[in-house]
Amino acid sequence: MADLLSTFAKAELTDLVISNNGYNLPSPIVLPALKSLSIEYEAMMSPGIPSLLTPTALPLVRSLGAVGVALLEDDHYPPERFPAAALLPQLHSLVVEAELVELVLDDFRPRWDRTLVESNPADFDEFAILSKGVQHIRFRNLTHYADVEAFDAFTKLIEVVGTQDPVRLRSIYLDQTLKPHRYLSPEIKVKVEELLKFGVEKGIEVVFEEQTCCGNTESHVSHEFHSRREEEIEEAGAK
Amino acid sequence: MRTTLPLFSSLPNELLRLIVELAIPSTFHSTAYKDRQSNLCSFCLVSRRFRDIAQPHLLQIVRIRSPEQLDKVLERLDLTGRKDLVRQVALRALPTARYDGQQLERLARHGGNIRSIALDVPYFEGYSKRVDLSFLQLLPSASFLSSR
Repeated sequence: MADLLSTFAKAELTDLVISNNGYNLPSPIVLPALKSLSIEYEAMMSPGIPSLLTPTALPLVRSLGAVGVALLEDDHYPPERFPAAALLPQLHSLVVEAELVELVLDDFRPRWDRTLVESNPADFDEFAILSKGVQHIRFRNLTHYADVEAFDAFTKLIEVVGTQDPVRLRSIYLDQTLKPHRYLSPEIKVKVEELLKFGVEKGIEVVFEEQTCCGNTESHVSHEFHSRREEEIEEAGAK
Repeated sequence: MRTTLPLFSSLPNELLRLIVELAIPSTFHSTAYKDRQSNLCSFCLVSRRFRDIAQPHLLQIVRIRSPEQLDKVLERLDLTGRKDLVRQVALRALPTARYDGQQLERLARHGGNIRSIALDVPYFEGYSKRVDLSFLQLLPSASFLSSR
């Protein structure tokens, strides 16, 4: 009987990515098995979609990526609140952009442990949020193909975090192609190793993860960050 | 003249399946999708046994870029008569594309095994039609008999 049961699989929609703005939802729906949602800000503002961003509609969602705030049109920018704020208490991990965190800081302040802040390496001004208590930061679309100048972001990060006392930053997420190896360009390798050394000194973990890129249909959630958070939550529950 | 592959003909199906599955990504990546499908088509040409193993994978991950392409995928799924093939769907659209509700409902009815959906649909007033996300709720959540 057990063998027979094992041949049955539960078919459920667990992952959803919604990019761009071409959606509507005439009446509320429930996605009872959805665990991971990556959604662009424009999609969140589409007619009826806010009704989807609630614990009733998404009872099992634990991982959320919400990006693209800069693409909002003037009538929606700046947002007064995070449109998925109702989901925050149930989330184990959340990926949002530095720009959004600055705009609706109060929604995230109590939840730095579960928030991975995506930062644009070209915009040093974004590092100002590090003084607000951010614990986890991610550089996205920074790969071994990037110009060496893009890695000045590391120098700036070291400068900003180096003056903090105590240091609140706990981890930095980078694309796995930046992991130092013999084929990484020497100029970039030096920058990455400098960051790694700084991380060791300050107790900040540098995590190399598989980052998706290059397409709107790619999810913004971080599987690496989420699985680490799940482990933390499990350990905390066992104590 | 037909070439025989004695090595492959002596291998059990489980190993052939493993060869196919190790040669392709198991999840959707926009940059790797074309190569994935192309590799599967190549496997289909090796032998009938390889084709039987590789062909279902072609519909396991589907990238749809227009309502016409969705129709074609739905037709192929109708022909197979199986509701457990599609696991991941990436649906994109140009601003002028107009997916209709019935098409998406058909996709949901064929999607007995869909676990992941990625949508990228732009809207321009006067040109586009918004996609009604209600179809997501039509995806079955009941158990079904797995093919493997």
